[in-house]
Amino acid sequence: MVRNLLTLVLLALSVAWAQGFRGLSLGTPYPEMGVQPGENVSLTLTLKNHGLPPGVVRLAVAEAPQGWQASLIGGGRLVRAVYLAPDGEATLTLRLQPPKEVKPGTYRFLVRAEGLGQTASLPIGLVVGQGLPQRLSLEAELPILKGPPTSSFRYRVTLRNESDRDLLVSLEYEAPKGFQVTFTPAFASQQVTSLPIKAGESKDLDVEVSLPKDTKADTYGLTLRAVAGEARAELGLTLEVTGRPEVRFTTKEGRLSGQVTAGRENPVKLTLKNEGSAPAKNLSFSAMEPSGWEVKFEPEKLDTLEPGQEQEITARIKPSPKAVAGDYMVTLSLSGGDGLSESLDYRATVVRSSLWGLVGVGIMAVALLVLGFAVNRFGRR
Amino acid sequence: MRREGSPWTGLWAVFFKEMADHLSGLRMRILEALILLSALGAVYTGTQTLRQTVGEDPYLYLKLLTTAQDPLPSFVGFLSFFVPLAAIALAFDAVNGEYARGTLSRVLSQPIYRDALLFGKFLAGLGTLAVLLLALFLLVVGMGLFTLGVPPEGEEMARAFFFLLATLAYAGVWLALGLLFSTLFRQPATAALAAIGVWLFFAIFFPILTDLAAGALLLQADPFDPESQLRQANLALWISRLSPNTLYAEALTAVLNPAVRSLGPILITQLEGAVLGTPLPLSQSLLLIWPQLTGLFALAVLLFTLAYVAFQRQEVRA
Repeated sequence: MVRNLLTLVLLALSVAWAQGFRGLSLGTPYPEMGVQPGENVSLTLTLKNHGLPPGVVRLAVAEAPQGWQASLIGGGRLVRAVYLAPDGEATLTLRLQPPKEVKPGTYRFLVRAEGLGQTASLPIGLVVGQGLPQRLSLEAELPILKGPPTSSFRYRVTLRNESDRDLLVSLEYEAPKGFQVTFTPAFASQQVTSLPIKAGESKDLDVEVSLPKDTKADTYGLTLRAVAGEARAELGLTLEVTGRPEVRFTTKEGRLSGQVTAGRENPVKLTLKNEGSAPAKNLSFSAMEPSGWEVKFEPEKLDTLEPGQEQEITARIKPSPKAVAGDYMVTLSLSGGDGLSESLDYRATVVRSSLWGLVGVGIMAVALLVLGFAVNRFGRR
Repeated sequence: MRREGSPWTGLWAVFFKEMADHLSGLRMRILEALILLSALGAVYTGTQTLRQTVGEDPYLYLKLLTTAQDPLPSFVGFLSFFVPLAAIALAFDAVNGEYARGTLSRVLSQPIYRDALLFGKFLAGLGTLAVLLLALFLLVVGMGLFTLGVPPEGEEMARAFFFLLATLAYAGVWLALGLLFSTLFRQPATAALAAIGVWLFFAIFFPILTDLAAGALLLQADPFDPESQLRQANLALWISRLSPNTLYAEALTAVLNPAVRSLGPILITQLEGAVLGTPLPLSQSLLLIWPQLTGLFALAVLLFTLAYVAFQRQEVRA
């Protein structure tokens, strides 16, 4: 019980001492740190007046190793003294610049603050050669995308600076010929080729790949590279390009009009060419013709048409025997798998066969025969 | 008595003599003046209308022939009115006039057969009309060239040629009719009256009669059966085609208006997918009017044969 009471009294006393601290305090969060050789170091110093009357405190770097340049900076300028109100606080930056060729090892500094009848000092240690290595990391949310060559492949990539200093990162890529890659910071519209990243921070990038329309269906690899000095990060992306058939459907000579005889089959040569990147499958042909007409295709169907392949087909247009002479529109169309559909309008000029003209000639011949008969029968002097 | 030798002997003598008579006769002068005046008027009004209304037309000269402006009919309208009159005027006294003057036996005492005489008279009439029509047509085209300033195209001229041919066949029909009446009736006045009566019948009464007939036929058709209506309409059309005037008018329609595709009733299904208003090629237009042309030709030949038979059986030494 007595011991408990003693502990309580001691605790209360220590709180009172801490609260009752009067004087100057000079501090920084990390007084000893590892740095890279040649790296400039900036430390944030905090100077505080605990319960003293207001006044000016002089600051100085009391000790610095040979060749190092130490400067105290406040408000953007070199400072030598700080004015402190009671319980006031001032923040300063201590910039330490190493000599050109600094050897690894521990370097010690001492900053001293004097004023208001008090002195505060802060020893600082820098261990050169013990900083974090420069590191970048590059990660993709979805590294494999799939689509037709006309679609846009858009990857969301996170670039992270895992080192202890700010870096200017340039972005590079290695892609198959004809592929175009652009980098855009997330939620921005400008394309970039390099971007600054603060130490320990990360940035999201949109990487958009556009490929030639006639890219063959295949799986393609793409390497992204982020480079900043010696630090580099690589990321492999994969594009699974699904092909798209694109069939050009025209007549053989490119003429979209022609003569057809009523009641007869009139062949019209058509050509198909697959100008897409994938085979066109299950091609079938149909026609929108006036009623009473017949349109047949030879062959009626095509199973596959490879990219670049050309095929000739024949449409046999048979106008109705009763079709009136003149121009008609016939729509020939093609449909296939993968939503493929093409059509062409053919202007058919119907001519009637001249068979009935012969009947007219026959009538005239009969009339002349009658005349000839009359001349023979009734001819007389 | 059977004839010895060719029936054509003396044909050309008759032909040229008759043609000279026609071309120098006062009757022909009057007709020429009439037709010329009407052609001038029609072409003038046609050009005026064309200049105002038609910007660009591939068949400008055909339009020139067919454009009418009230109160004047078109050139084609004038022709279809005057050609039968001219043909009848040339032929109504061809044979009976010779009787009346007593010149027939004198002519036949020459080494000329009767066949040749009638052939020559018919051909001379046709030749006179052909010369007249050609001159008139060239005049119209020349005036069109002068006022429109656009040269005519080949197809237009070909169509105009077939228009002239159809007009000649039509003239042939009336010429043969005039010849027939002039052999049948001894009085030239009777023959003229009969021929003009026939012409009036076909020009005025026949359309009325065919209209009545068509109305009656359509009444007979089942109103709920379109097929029977179509049949009756076709029948009415066939009846109206018994008139040479209808045949001629249809031939003109198709040959002078290239956009005409059919001369009869058309089902709407036959026009499905059709591009309307496009001109037919000339060969197709010709095919369309071929029955009309051959019909006119055959009619002329048959009428002439009748006249021929009547003439051969006649007593000439009266």
